[in-house]
Amino acid sequence: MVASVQHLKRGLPSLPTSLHAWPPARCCMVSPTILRNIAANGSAEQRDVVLQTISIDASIRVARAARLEATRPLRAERRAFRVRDTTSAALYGPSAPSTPDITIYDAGKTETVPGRRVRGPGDAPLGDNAVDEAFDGLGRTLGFYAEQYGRNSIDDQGAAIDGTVHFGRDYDNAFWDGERMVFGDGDGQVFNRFTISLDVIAHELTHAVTENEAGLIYWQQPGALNESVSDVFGSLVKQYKLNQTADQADWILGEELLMPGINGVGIRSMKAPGTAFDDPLLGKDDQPSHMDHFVRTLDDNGGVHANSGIPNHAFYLASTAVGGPAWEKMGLVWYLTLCGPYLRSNCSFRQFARLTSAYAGAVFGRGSDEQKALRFAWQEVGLDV
Amino acid sequence: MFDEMTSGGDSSADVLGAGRTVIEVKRSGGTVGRTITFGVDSIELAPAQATRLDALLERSSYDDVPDSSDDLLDGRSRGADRFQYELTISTGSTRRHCRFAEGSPAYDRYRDLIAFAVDATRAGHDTEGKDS
Repeated sequence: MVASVQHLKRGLPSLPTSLHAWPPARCCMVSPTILRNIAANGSAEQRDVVLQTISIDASIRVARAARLEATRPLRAERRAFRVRDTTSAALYGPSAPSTPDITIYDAGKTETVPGRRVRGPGDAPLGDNAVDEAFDGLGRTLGFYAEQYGRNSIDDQGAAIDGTVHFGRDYDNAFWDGERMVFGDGDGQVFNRFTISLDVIAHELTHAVTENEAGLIYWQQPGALNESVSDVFGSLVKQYKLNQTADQADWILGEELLMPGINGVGIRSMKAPGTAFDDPLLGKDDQPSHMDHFVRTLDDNGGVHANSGIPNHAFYLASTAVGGPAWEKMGLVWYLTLCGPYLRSNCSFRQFARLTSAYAGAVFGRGSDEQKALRFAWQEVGLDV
Repeated sequence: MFDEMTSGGDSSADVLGAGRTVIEVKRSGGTVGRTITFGVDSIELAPAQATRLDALLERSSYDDVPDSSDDLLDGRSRGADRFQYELTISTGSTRRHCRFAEGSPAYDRYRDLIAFAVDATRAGHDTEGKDS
């Protein structure tokens, strides 16, 4: 099933390796906008201080981006090497911690992060559902990445993981803020707590993986790819836990999120995008499954959660056509694509489709059943590769 | 950040009487990706609530809001699955509108006003929350 590093390289199209764009800008305590405003409108003394701050911040960001860019081929090759060797749990390797470095904080229904530290590595369960679900879910997701792809945390270098629960009041959301995974308790009418679904937790953690790897811009098509990658691995973590084959999986995201009485099966369906819910309170699922119905909007960062239905469905079609556990073949192809040197931060759907097809050919052989299934899947959603 | 939409005359705003305020909050994104509109109209509020709305508006100083539209529209701010907001404030003959992301300086400025509109909508004091 797996291929050597050289085989992977030979099998890939001759794409330039230096095209990967800069990762997203990093945050500082005071936003660049405010600093720019002070620089423009403040006193001479204030301006000097601010300009120095901007300069330092920019230098840090450039240095960090340069380091990531410089180590990118090495990291990609190391991952490919691990994949070549084995797919066993031993991939986690001696460098991986035996106890995942996960810390959970409680925001106390405020919107202040990180909040109060409530559970750390090695601590016993707290008895608070949100805390324990977040801790266990993040750990299970890290375990999935380690066991299947030899990845060591979100940066593949063992980064500590922080999660914050009980964020906001009746807060109907979970998100990755660039530093941590954050989970609301839901409003109790439409949405349950957002830690209740393992695939939602894995979805958020995968945003951190994507940010560390391809850095897909969170806007329009690359943003929808960013979302889709999170859905794919969110679903795979759930399938892995349940030890399901592609045919056995329900391909639903957030199955447990909807409260009783809400007409829906979850928040998204990869099997049948656009059918997950239809409810007076929640509205109707508007995900397309084909490029003919691509949603053009300024809302939701250019429709990132709607149009992710298209690559989501392609992944589902390819995985079920190939059969077996989806994380072993198509999941591997998606992972290599995400972490390889060819995926640009502004990647379009078509470019992504071509890259996955190239990786499928490199890993399973040109013209293999897997590559044919994947190409057919992309065609089915309106993307010829 | 705010576009003053009605200095030249906007028919929908012109019909608002003096002292009347209408707030519309359109929220999109989040991990679910739904677009929901919340609204509040001061004439439908109890006096105490209307006074509270006036105080929130005054506190928000909406004539001088930090601009976060660049961060919002170029998609380069860190993170994912955060909410995106469109806020429209109509008072008398003036109508103002801005877009910003959750967690931005503009969001911090309007957080309480947004929460007020959301609560008012959920309590049924004003226009219905609706999916768009």
